Amino acid sequence: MTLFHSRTNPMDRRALLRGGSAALGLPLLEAMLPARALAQSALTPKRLIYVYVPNGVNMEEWFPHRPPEGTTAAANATLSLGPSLLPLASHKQHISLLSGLTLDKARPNGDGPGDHARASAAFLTCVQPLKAEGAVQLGISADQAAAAHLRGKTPFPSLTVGGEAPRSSGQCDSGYACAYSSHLSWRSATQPAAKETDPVRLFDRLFRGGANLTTITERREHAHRRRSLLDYVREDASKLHGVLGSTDRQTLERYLTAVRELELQLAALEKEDLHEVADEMRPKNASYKRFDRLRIFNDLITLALATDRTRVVTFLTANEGSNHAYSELGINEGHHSLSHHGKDSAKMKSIASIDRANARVLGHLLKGLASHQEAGGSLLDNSAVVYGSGIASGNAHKHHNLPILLCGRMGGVLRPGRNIQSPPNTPLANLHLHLLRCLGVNAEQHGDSTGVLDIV
Amino acid sequence: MAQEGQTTSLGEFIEQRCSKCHGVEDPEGDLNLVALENEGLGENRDKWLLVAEELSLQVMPPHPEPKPARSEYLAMLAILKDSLGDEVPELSTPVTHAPFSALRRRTVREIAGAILALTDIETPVDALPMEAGLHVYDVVGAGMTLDAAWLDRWLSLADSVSREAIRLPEPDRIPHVQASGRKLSSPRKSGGRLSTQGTAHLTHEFPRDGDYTLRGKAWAQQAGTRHAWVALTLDGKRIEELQITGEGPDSAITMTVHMRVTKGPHQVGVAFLNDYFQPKEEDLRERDRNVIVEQVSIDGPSDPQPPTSFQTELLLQAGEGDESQAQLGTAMTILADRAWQEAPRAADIQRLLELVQEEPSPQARLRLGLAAVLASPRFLLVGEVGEPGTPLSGPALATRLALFLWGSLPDEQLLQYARNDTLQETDVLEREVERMLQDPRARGLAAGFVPQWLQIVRLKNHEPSKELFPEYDAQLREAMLAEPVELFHSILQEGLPARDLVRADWTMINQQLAGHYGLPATGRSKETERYSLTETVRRGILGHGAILTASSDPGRTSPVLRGKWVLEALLGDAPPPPAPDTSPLDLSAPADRGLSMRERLKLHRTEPGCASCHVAMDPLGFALERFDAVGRTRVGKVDEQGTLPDGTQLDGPLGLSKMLTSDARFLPHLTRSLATYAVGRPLNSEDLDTLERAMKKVPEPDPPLRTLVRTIVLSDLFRRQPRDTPNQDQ
Repeated sequence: MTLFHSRTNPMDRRALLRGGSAALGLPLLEAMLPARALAQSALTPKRLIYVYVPNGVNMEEWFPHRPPEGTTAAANATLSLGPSLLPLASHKQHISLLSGLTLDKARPNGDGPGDHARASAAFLTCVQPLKAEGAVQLGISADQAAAAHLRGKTPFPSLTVGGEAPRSSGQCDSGYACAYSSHLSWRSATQPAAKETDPVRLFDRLFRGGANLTTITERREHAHRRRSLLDYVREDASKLHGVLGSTDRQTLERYLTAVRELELQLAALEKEDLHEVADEMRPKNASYKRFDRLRIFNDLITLALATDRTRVVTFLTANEGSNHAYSELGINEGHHSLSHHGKDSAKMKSIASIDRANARVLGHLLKGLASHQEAGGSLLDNSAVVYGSGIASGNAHKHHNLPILLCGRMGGVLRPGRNIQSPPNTPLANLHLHLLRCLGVNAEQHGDSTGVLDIV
Repeated sequence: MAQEGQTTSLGEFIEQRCSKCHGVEDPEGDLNLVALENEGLGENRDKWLLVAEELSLQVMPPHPEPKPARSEYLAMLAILKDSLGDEVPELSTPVTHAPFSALRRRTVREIAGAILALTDIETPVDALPMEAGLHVYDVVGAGMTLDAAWLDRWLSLADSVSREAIRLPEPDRIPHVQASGRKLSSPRKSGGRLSTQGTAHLTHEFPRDGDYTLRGKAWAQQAGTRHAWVALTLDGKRIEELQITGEGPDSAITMTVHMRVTKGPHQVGVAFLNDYFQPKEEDLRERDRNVIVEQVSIDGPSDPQPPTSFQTELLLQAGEGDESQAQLGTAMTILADRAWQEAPRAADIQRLLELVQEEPSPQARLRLGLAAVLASPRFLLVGEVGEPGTPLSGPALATRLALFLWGSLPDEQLLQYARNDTLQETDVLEREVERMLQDPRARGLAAGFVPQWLQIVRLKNHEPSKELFPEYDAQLREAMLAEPVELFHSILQEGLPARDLVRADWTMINQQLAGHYGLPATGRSKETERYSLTETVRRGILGHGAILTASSDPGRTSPVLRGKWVLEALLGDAPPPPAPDTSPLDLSAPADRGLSMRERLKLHRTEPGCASCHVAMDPLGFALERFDAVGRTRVGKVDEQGTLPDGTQLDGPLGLSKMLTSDARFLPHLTRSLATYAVGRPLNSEDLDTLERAMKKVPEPDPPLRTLVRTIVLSDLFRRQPRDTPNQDQ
């Protein structure tokens, strides 16, 4: 099968990206893109991907049972994984297992219960979330700091994807706004980034002008109309803006900012060298089974990165505190209930099997990223994938020694394939700061960081 | 300096605040604080840390004991910290109220309601861009989620709504689907390759009745004396037959049929009609006749659709159908007038006309105009900025009223009162409330408020064990979700007392749910109708499957969750969440411990840190033990008695219904909840006073639900700007 087509129309120099069966997975993801695609740019871009799993993990099965022999230095030089991570064994050379990282801002620090809401809220912000009725107060998340830095480089400054829909009302965790449990990604202290939970709509947004427009002509017409519409609403909003007091401007300012960003997005999507994606890659519908759905999302993330639609992705595989019963794994009790296992061995086993299933999905993502070749190696070689949870063991709600994997080489600045042990209570924010710096963000501090994580 | 009545030393604090339960005699949770204090802080570190934790969370002393002042808690924690060090936690921050911007985005629920009111198009909520939750009610802080990703999705949706609402005389785009190779289904799963008689087909969901062009392209590997015969088929029926005379891919033929096809799934395929196979034939090329189907495609529908009734009516209202600029302008005015909070001015309409002028046809211009009306912040944002305490303008009041009572847009009559500024007059407002509540659209209040108030939204993510409850399915869940909405709506429309919500001996359900409840349902229609519950112990929402299921674990009931639900949703008296490090009750531990759930909960209640809340929650939950984890009635003996902390005996659901009916917390909490939902912000103390003053004027001892709603609307809380100036951005 031909994977890569040049358009027959000589006026249209866009390339068409094709893949294998879009029903499930992208088995033919490799070689989809011509190597020249990104080789033309002097510097292959670095990508940053965060993948989060809720409710912590079974720590006993996450870390290797027996510490590797030899001196610490020698032991750390070769990666050893716990049983839950065995599905990743074939990707070992791309992975480092981090230990000793702490998310202090997920701890109560005087705010009482709500460890789940805090864990997701603080994971990328490393700021203590405000517990209040009908209010949020947090900080910018690492991915959004990266997106702000890269704004204008790609059509979508970042992608925020979720395996579960957020809840627009209700009580989620001990007096914290539901937004905390369902959003890792925060544009500012009070604004979560909207999350996409429908793979079809995500595909259409990235590759089809938001409306399953299959031909380029259609998309151009659509973009033209969209541009006029944005002009119109921007003027409308500006007029309203003038008559409002400062407090009430906020909602409108968000609207105006969104309009401006959409204008940039439209312009960027019209660039000639943008890679097209074949129709076969469009997911069929939104009703995939749970893990298939996560894989589809990972495929779309890979496609978005490979075609340089974006360079920053945040994927919350399930909302923090999710009580989904993994019947697909033969587990009938909810994930959150199970995570409070009280050392019950059957429950701990169930948690480990959820962890393992999630690791398999991560393996799928790594495989996709590694199979796409570009200048400077594979897509994975040019990416950093941070995978983990803001809770260590769900049973005790602890937030130190978090389960974190760091995958990829990020253009050579990372050396995967190791166990990286940090001193106890090293802020997770130090990892974020390190990666932000590697991306070129000129930041002195992120959240409660005390410096740059020492992983060289 | 300590205030009067405050204790200053630890000994004094324990004596006054704790010793009643944690004294020398039979101490709760085996925690004798008086004895501990005598031994000093140097001993029993673990127990003292536990005490510190309880104090830091302010869960001790428990309700209804008098609550120490914040300064008193702080003083005691400081004393403990001096001896025990940094492990003593800080005093938890009390939940604070944030000031609110008067301007907010419509929630996605309200957007769906507005689209329906404006265009008659039903928008499934999952088609709308997602929004994050800030509060129990979606209206509070709505608009927090508003960035490029959200707006991108919303503009795309506004676009597709306008396409659906307004049809063009020529179809603007003829959809094309095609399949080839492995994407084709064939008898031997061989894709497009047919080596025996059979059909390679594509199954397609035809979007509507219409004209379609069906095509099939195939070539043959010839053998024998005859040429290969193929047919283009629709659902297995031949619609065109053809002989393939050539050999190989270069002589592929295409069959094309234009025809009318009905809406729904159909199979379009190419059939191979005359297989030939002589395995003994020596000439390999003469041995086997095969057909290879290269592609099957469907183009269409290609016929124009008649205008929608929305479109026809709109143009009719806009004046004679001369498709002039004037008519277009009037149509835009009508749309903007209905969709926007403020009436559009001539300049706004002029700008809309400028926007659409490039479009090729009048219908296309109207279509883009509709999308623009919906995309505008004048539609998306509602509310009004004004001086604290001043009355809302007519339009702002009308918008708020329509959102509250209908979850939708104002209708023409309401708009008229709004535009001529008479809606603010009490008698006009009162008449309008009555009219609107009589209107079928008032179901929007029940549909928007009830699932949030009763916390059954979470039923959508709740999956009862398939093994234990195989009969629970999506249909039953939808029937369950509808029940409390229908009950609330009926009580509202029929002018019945609000307390009937927990007292009614009837309900509104369909046949399936009636069967689930064990009610005689034979001879009943499948639609929702009224069923009597007098022969059962189900009373009001307490017997509703949605609540009983949402407050259970997947495989079993949870008296704790149910008790918590009663306190939280119905009485507004939520217990604080469990303290960190308290061990959750382990009900699924091996049964050979020989303890019933009640016994285990009893044991749990002896643990310090657990007792204070569980004594209030557990008996309420046990009263509902008659119902299983999907809300069916349990037969036989059920342990459903309990004693409330004040000594009241509770016996089963009937007892709980009786208790709630007379509970002084029920109506005020319901009213506060409705009022929060109505004004879209958490109520501050000023608001609560205003509301209480208004409620005091209600004469009936057992007020109708409708009276509560009307009283809220007529109160200053609803009609005026909040008194507290928003002073900080949120």
